Amino acid sequence: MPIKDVIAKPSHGFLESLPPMEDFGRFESFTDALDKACDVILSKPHASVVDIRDPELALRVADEYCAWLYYASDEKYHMSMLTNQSDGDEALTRKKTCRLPAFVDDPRFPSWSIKYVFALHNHPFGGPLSLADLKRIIAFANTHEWVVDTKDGKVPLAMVAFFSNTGSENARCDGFYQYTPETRELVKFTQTQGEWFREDIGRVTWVDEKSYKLNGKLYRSK
Amino acid sequence: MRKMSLALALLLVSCLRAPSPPTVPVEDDRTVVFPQFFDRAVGPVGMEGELYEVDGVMLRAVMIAANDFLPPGAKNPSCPNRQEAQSYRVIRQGNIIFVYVYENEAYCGGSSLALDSGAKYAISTDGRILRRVLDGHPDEGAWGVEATDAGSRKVPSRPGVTPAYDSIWNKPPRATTQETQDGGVGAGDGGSAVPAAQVDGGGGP
Repeated sequence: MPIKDVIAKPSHGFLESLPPMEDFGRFESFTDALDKACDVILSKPHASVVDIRDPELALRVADEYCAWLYYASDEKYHMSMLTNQSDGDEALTRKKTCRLPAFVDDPRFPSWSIKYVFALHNHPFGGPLSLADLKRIIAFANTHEWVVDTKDGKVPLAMVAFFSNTGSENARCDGFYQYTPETRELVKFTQTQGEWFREDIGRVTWVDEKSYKLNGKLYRSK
Repeated sequence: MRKMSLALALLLVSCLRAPSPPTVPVEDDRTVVFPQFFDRAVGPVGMEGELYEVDGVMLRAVMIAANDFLPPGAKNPSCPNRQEAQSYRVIRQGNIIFVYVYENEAYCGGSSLALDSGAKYAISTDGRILRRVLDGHPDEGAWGVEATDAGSRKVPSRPGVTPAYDSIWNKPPRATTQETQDGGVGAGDGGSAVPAAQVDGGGGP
């Protein structure tokens, strides 16, 4: 059954790009766009399953959605349509994943002008970013840009995983984990009654392409 | 009669086919703490021409993890969901063997990279799954970070602003006086301002 704003996996192959979600609107700031994106993604069916007591049932119905937040030549922030595409036979495994296409295809803007800012997805069980999440955003940074210029300043590319502490339909957005490959900073944002807070988890030091340390200290810019 | 014999023959063959491995129940021992799997470089087993010895108990633990995460027996599983398309990191601590299963993206290729496609297991040396944590699931102490003041403190911030960019996007509003009423909060403002004097946007390492 189709889900509003969600493009499913095609019958053969994978989506290579995502179209825009035009009714998301255009935003002056990425902070406001992120705030709304959290609500949009967590409103989708089983985007959060923390309210389901049966762990096997929760695992079976949980769904991961992924999308892009991007900056376009109109100097505004936009969101792509969501997808929940995976390999099609995850029901036979313990995996719960989303395969995020690398590109956005927005016919309103030339493809070269699209600047990728946030790779978005949800964690139905509310946990932190995984190794796969960190590796994917680095791969995207190598495909796109590590930092983009906007009219108001530079914005670094980052991976975001939204979560809810309440679950159920139209789950409340309670925060997200974020990793920024340019600065290697790992943080957690939470919101309480509209006020946002940040907890600095640490800085990642890559030992090699798939090994890393996490240092509790953060070096702050002067 | 021939048809019945064929049906019987097929039934017999299916009985003789090797059965799928029995499922191992997953306990949920929250006292088990996973080690760091990725804080050091490792050499892979399987280098051309090299000789290896694999401990049977370790091998069984890897098999238990693989069979739980990606149960065998599925007809024509997609490439990323095959056991041979994963990598496995293993570490033994006392009577527990820890296994992290994650996608080896080079095996299947493809341009749509999967998020959250791994899992970690704690398996006892007698073959029980003590604990399983899938990617994206909560795991206390997952990051193995030393408790520091910087790590546990929550500060007001606009969502999405990473610390190194505080000076651009988390600027506190300028002080206002009756004589110098300031209607803005500086570059980058598209939303609400951050309360003054609560965000550390500077300071050296």
